[in-house]
Amino acid sequence: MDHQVSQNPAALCSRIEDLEQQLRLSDQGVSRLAERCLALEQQVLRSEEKLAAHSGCTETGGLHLPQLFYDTGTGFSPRECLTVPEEVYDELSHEVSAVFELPADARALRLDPGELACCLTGLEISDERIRFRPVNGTPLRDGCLLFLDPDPNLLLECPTGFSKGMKFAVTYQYYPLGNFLREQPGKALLEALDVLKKQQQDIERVYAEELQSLRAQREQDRLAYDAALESMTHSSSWRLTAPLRALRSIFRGRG
Amino acid sequence: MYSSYSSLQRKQLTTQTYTDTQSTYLLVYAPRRRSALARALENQLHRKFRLVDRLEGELTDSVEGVLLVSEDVECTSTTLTYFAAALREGADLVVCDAVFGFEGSTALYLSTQHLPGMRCAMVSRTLLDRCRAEARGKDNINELLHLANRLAEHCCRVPQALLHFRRELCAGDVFSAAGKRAVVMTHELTMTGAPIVLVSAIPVLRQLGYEVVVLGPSDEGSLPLFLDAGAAVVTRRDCVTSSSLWELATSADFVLANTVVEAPAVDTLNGAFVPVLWWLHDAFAGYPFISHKIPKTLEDNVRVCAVGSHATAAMHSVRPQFAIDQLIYGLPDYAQESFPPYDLRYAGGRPLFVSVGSLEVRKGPDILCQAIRLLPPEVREKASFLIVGKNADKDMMHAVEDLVEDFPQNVFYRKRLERPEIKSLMQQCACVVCASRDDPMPTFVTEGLIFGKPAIVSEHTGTAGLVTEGVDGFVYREDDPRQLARVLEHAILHPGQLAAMSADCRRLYEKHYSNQAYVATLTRLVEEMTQPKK
Repeated sequence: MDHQVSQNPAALCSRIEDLEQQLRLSDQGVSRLAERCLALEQQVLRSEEKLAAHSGCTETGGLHLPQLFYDTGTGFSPRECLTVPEEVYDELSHEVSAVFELPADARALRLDPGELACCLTGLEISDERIRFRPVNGTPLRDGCLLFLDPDPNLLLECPTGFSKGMKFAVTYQYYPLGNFLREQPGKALLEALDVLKKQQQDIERVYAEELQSLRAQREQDRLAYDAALESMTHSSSWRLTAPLRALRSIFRGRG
Repeated sequence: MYSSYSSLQRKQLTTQTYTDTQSTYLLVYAPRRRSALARALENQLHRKFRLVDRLEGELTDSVEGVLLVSEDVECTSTTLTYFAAALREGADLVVCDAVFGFEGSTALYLSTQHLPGMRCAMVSRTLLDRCRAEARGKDNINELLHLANRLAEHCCRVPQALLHFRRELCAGDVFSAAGKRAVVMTHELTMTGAPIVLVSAIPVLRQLGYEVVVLGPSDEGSLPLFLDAGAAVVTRRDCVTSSSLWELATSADFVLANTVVEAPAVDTLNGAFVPVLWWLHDAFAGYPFISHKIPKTLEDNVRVCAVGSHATAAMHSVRPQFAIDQLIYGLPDYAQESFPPYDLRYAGGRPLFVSVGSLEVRKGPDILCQAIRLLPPEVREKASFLIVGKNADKDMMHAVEDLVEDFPQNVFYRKRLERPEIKSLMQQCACVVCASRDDPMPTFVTEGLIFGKPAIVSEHTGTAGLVTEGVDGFVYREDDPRQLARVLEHAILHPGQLAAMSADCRRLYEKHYSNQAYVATLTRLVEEMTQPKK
């Protein structure tokens, strides 16, 4: 490239035109590259989208979502289970809000809030007749439920039964414990809980034994009392005084 | 690079087309923190730009536009391309939509009629020169943005979320510092009744001097209607259940919460200082899943209104103590419009009784079918019946199909009619029939009233609460086909009475359903709630 600037005006104009032409060509080249970059970027995004959709289907997608099992008479089974779309769970706020409609009359309902050990808070069911009872969870304070089992579930109970078409919303905050339980703090927490559980069981056992012994003692007392009563009612003096007791009851009745 | 895009940005980017803007020379003026911006600019497809932290000495003659950036922000690779393209098309101020939050899960859609709190905007060289001439500070970025907003003559909004602010959205992003603020909360932005009706509230609020921001979950069709009406729209998937954006409402001067689904938000705002108008459109069917979220008592700042007696009764079924005003949405006066006539020769020239609505249990097409069957044959032959609505329930569809098959001469079914056809149908029919079991305010009945057509309605409709029996309509009870049949028989045998009711029907529309009536009622409610108490 010639970097020397000519002092001749005609040559200068020609040089300017030349540079402008080069600039235009350069812009065109950049533009083509940019267009290609955008196409590639879009291709990458589409591939990532497909990949995400695929892994969403195969990996943890459903682990955070509730399922409602309804028993129509053959027990709880995956065949009689209502699922919900992914949008019902918000990872950021931990909010779950799902609506279920029973496709058939059911004799029992079981709600699985997810497929991970978890903590639930603020569990509410829109139909005020329905009550819930954790099957393998521990109620903590302030309406918090702790499930250390990887298959947490609650039984739902309704005094009027569960009929076809019954529709209700379930809302709660879902905090999966996930890998936490496999890491050191989680393990320590589990061990601490185990110790507490054992202590609780020991206390329960002591109380149970004490209760058992008290019951046995009471039973012995009762038997002794029955024997004493029977011997009294079969005694000669009791039989001899029977007319007197009969007379007394007649007079009392008249009085 | 792509991994930092939000899902909305990714979705939009995959459909964007390339525009060659390489010959447009731009400056990016970012005098404050800008490390994320600098990284994002490395990947810009538009290459002819310079990132500067001062304008003095950098603003050469060939600079055609300057992107003013007041805080650090990430942007997509096409940002400068879109801005440069808009400048080329004659815009002097260009803004774009944005996403907020670490994941970008909150989206802000701007309306060109409402551009408060701009953090980033492209200005043309001409506009920038005017702004600099008027500015008191020396190239103060906020002042330049403020002046650009005020002085712009050709503002352009790029309908793409090109910017990503990693912080959460705040009131300053959607409201100006001094304006009156209104937040409108909706649980859906679909093309269904409640959101569409809500759009009509935006011009009223703007007329009252409010800057309006709509908060909804995601665009499902009606979002552009709100933008066109002059409101900015903020979307976040969990906006109904999560309180993360409700603080926008606490920074507002007025809140309009639409439908009973907003109960959690109303519960949170109950007792706050901001006035909340809770507008109910819901049928009884909408309550079982939300009733536990409805506050037991309402404080003075919350006022409830409903679109008629049926929506009122639905709320009273769970909260009988609530005082509920009436706010019935307005429909335009179609009778003043011109539209092509809908050919009704197939109806045989007999008086036509029309029912419009999807074929589902709640809408009661089976009741209407049963009533038509119960009519004495000699009466039935004197009228024609047209049922319009898409199939939404197999059994209901069968009921209609069987009826049409049994009486092909005078019972007709159409799956769908276009809007002009509906208007013409209402103009030509003798009477409309609404057999709904649970319907807050059937729109087609109101459309009939616009043309002075009397309606036969079930007591379980909002219209029933406004009709005067025999004057501007008829009401039948208990979802009973026999009662409906008796009213139909009376109407068929007294065509003169139907025709004579026309003026009263029209008056009913003008009193309760006209746009003027709606605007007046909403204005009164807003003013009553926002005026300082004496």
